Amino acid sequence: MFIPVFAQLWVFHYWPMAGIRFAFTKYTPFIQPQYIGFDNFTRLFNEPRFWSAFNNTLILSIGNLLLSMIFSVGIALLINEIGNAIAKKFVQTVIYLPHFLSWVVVAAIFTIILSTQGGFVNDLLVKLGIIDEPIYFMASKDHWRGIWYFINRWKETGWGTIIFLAAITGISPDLYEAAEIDGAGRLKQTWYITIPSLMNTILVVFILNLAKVMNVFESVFVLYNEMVYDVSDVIKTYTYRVGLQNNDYGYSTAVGLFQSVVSLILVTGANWFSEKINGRGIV
Amino acid sequence: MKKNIVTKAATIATALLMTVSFLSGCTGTGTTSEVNTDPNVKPTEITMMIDTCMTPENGLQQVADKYKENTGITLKLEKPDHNQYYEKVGLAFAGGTAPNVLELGSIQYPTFASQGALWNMADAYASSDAPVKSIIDEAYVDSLRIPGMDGTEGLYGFPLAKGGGTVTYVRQDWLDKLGLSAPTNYNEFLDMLRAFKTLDGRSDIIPITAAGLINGESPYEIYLREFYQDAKPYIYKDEATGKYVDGMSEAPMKEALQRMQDAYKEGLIDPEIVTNKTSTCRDKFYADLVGCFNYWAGSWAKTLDENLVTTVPDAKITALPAIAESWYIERPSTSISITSEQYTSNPIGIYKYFIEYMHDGGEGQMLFTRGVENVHWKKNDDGTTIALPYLETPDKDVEKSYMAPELSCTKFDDPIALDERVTSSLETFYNNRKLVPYPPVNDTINVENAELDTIRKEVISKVVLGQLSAEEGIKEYETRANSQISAILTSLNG
Amino acid sequence: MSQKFSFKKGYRGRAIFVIFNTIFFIIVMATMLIPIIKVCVDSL
Repeated sequence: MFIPVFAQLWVFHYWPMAGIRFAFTKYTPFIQPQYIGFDNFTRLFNEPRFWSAFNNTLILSIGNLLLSMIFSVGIALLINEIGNAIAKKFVQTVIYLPHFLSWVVVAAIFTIILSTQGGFVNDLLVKLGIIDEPIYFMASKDHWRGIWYFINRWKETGWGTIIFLAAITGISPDLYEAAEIDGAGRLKQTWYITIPSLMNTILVVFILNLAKVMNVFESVFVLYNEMVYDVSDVIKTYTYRVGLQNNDYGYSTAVGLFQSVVSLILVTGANWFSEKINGRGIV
Repeated sequence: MKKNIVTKAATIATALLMTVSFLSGCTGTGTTSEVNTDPNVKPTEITMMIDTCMTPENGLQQVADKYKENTGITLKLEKPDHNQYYEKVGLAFAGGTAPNVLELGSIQYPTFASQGALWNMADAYASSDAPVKSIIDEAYVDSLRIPGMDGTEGLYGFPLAKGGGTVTYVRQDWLDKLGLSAPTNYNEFLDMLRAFKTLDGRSDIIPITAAGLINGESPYEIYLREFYQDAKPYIYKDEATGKYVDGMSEAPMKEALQRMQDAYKEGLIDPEIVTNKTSTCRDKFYADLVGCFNYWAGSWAKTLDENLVTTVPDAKITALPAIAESWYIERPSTSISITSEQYTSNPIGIYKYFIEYMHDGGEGQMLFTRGVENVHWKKNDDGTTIALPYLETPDKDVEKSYMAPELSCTKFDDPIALDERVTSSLETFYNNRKLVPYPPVNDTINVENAELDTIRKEVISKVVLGQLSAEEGIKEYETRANSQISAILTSLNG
Repeated sequence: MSQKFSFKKGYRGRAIFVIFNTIFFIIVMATMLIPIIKVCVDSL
């Protein structure tokens, strides 16, 4: 029984790792891989825009992750408090609908909503007297990141609540009964029972998502433009632009390797940190 | 016990195999068989990677079958998803399965040629006396003469069709309503835009829009032609001195930036031009919001008109003749290239029996332009020929099987009449346009160009949107892009 | 776990919470749905 799983793990996860060697080569469709040592990495680290992109990747992705934990857990707790079972299911369904839209569609939707000409948000703000002129949000360095966080939360919060809601329903009702007998109100019950019981799930979700922090691409790609490259360009969008003209598989492997190393550091670090604080990690 | 041994063995095997594959090189590629040089030897099979043809669902295979019927040659066409075409082509070469023929456009054509991947057909073309020689427009063949791997000029591909370009479409019904005729110079052009802005007392009109302030690849200045005029926002060869220079640092570009900045401030250019995609500006145009729209001349004229008319039945679109200070820009032709001897054993046969056949002005050209008789087109009893509906989407008639009929670079007697809107927009375009060459490529450019393009785009946007003055913008460009510009110019000028 | 919904002392806090929770989710659902609906309507 183990053999098919092992074979699949081996073929799709372990053997391809040997491809790492290309990170140290120059390898194009026309040239067989030529060993060039660390040249790819030297080139990567000397690009000024690369460090800005790395910075953006961390800020955007980790920021998004933290917001995601707060919102998903918070909303899961609030959904749990809805008395009517039908209403509960209805709210859940509506909230995770945006998850199923593609990023291209979502970008188109919000570009229209945030438009300076007839966009809902600008119209409302001008009508309420909060601003005099429409703001070109999508091209504004001051606003772009906030908008990106908002759109990410709009799209993904609902989906994120699913795991937490499932975990909450798994908490034994005995605990709540005992707490009620002891005189604890809903708020205290949430604080002393629900959240500690969820801690493990929160930790697992957090660390697993931390591993994917470097991979952010599509949400940035469909929403960024040249006016906001400084605050929005992430590693994958940067190398996408470079790679379009430069078919160097060695270079793109080097970038991928760098990303994997950073992810490894983040995950191991978070796990260690969690062990120190909570007495347990997940890895 | 047994389980332990099996697990241990598996672990060791894994580690060993990984180490071996880690250290081993790649497998070899390509054919090493003899290369044929006799043009009369017909190939038995041709493999091709193709991009801008009709989809397999619409009958691409029938085209290949008909080709076999006519010539006896098996044609294997591979059409990857359009967005992944060049990725798949690169992988084919890297994996040793490069095709015999491939379609190459934009920067890829010179890149592949400079890497020695393409066969030089200059001699074959020169010595050929096939029908295509007497009907082809030589300018398009010449646009494909570029340096090869050793730096000498060669012909590494055959023009698929004319390159075409963008033209400025205008709402003719708005011009009529305002009693204006087509502007002939920049000032009249601006006055027209100003008149559009307040048309009918509306406040939502966008006088002119385009899919961006600058294109992401060569040719760069295809949008807002009336504003760019003679500016060259890229590195080009100054014919007078024979040296490459950066047009961004020259006076015409500074003036162009100033024009755009002023027009943007006045509200004449779409305020959201920086976030426009081609689909968003088309949508704005169809929603009756736009007066002028830079878009592709030719078959798009028909599409834009048909879609606009569903919202505004009385709308009329025409293409504006280029104003006095400017001209339209034609891209160099996409090429059909034959891969070099390491990938193809009979390049000259493929040239004669496939490429020349496709452009023969008769049977071959009909097949690769209009498709297969009674599948994609048919002859009526009264002698006229009409296009049939697409197999997959029958609400539209077949426009082309591969080569666009309205952009044919040979004198082709197309039996199917072209839509008047298509031909008139093209006529306006060709009346005043310049054919730009392929940009130069080399290893330095491949590495540095992407960043240069990015910086250029950022600076132009900042200036036009008013964050920097034209002067400051150029200075910022020159400072930030200094290493890229000097590296590229040194590699080109020596 | 559902308590009697009333404004009598003791149950008041819960009742107010339920009201705010309901309003909150109506707003959240609207935020999720309105952009989607707007675009569907616009493109028809």
